[in-house]
Amino acid sequence: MTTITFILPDGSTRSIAAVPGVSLMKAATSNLVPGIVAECGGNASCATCHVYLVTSDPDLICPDGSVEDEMLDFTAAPRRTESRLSCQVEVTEHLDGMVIEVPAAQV
Amino acid sequence: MRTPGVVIIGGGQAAATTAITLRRLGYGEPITLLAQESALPYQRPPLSKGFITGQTTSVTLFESEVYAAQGITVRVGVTATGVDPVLHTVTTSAGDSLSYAALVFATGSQNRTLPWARADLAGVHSLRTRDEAEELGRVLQPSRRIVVVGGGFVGLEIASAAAGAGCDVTVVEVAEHLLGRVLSSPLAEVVAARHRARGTRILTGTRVQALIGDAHVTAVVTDRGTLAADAVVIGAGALARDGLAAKAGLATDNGILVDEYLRAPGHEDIYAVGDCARFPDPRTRLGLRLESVQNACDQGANVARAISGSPAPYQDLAWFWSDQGDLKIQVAGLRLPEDDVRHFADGSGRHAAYAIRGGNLVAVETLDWPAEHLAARRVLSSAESIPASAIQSSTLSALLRARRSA
Repeated sequence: MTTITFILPDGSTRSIAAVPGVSLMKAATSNLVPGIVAECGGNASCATCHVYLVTSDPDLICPDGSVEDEMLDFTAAPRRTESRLSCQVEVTEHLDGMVIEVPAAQV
Repeated sequence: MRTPGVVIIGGGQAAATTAITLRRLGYGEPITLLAQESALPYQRPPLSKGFITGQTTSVTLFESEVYAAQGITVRVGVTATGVDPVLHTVTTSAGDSLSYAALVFATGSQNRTLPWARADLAGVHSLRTRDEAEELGRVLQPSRRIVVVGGGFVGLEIASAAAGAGCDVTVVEVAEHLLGRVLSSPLAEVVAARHRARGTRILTGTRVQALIGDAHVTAVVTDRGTLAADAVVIGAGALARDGLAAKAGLATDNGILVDEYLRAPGHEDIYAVGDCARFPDPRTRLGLRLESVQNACDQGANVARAISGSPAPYQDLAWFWSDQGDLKIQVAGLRLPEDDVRHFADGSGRHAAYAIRGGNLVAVETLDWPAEHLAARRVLSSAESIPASAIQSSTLSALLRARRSA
């Protein structure tokens, strides 16, 4: 199990135990983490699972020129360097202990 | 004294979203889903996309522990058999009766049945449930001859999966264009060309007349000739499942008629959401019934807010998408046949079609262009304003990017 902590828009935190192999979006929605909408269910179609990864790991930065990169330009909350669509991030042991910020708006 | 609690008739994504949103909003009374299918609520959009190709394996929305922890009772395999709006009760196929303070119809839609579709023949498939998708996935084997009847989103998604699996694929569509209901003709032509380039035969303006076969289908007879077939997949649209509501005395017209709060007129405690609801759309000013996951989720959430004490008219922007092979189609807003359409191709395979009504941009269809789709959703939902005249010389994504970097 990988422990991930979400900082919610109201400032409160929420820790979940995620199974490696699923997407970060799936881990968040199946644990009912508020603020991650994910209407398209993980098809990189809707950009409503936007999160900020609090990390300096270059491997976790959104790949340049990807569909995700293009979509992140139009998320409801402002894009930052550490912006990701959580449906495109796989939960690995590497993410254990990570802190993830949930933006105030998704749509 | 009325019994508190919400009964939701249905077990799809609209039903699950209604229940989960109620809990998220702090609703504390009992919630019961009558789920009909033998499975917990699952995502339907992937069934005709990644699920039949084997790319997506898990479609279940929430595991049973989530419902248990939230105090939501999901009765799988149980259907509602009757509703009494006066007594505020629902009878079930399990033989019991439930009282409700609020009732939500989330009964979905069912595939249209066609006069020539013989139920006695093996090898004739349709796709609505996960079980049907699993069965269809097994049928899509290399060199099998697959005839897909219906050139809408679902039919073309199945055709893509079949072509990808190495099948010999023919799509038969009665209308003159593919995707006539959902895509403007310039983009529909691009989609048709992409399917043909993968070796799929597209027969438009062609009507199926009969199926041939003794125990198993062997051919499809059309008004333009006979097609040999190892399997036939019918994707010819759907109708609302509104029979139970009609029996209970609610007004229906291929959909349960609801007001802007998604409430059945004359019944302040009965709502309908998702595929089964016909609601007044503020943008087109039409009574619409939409089959999309956006509509299912957003209407479910809207009704959950109403039941929790914060009713507001439903006015979310409609949007759809379809993945066909490596082609991504996205639609934001609803185009009407009489709208003006401006087609734009960027020269690298990306396309957009802008629908203009009364001088206003009302819908944007895109091919392989997620940025333009998302920009369109920002503009059409009024989160950001761009005059329709501005897209004569630029794209929405370029205009919004320029604004954001300014």
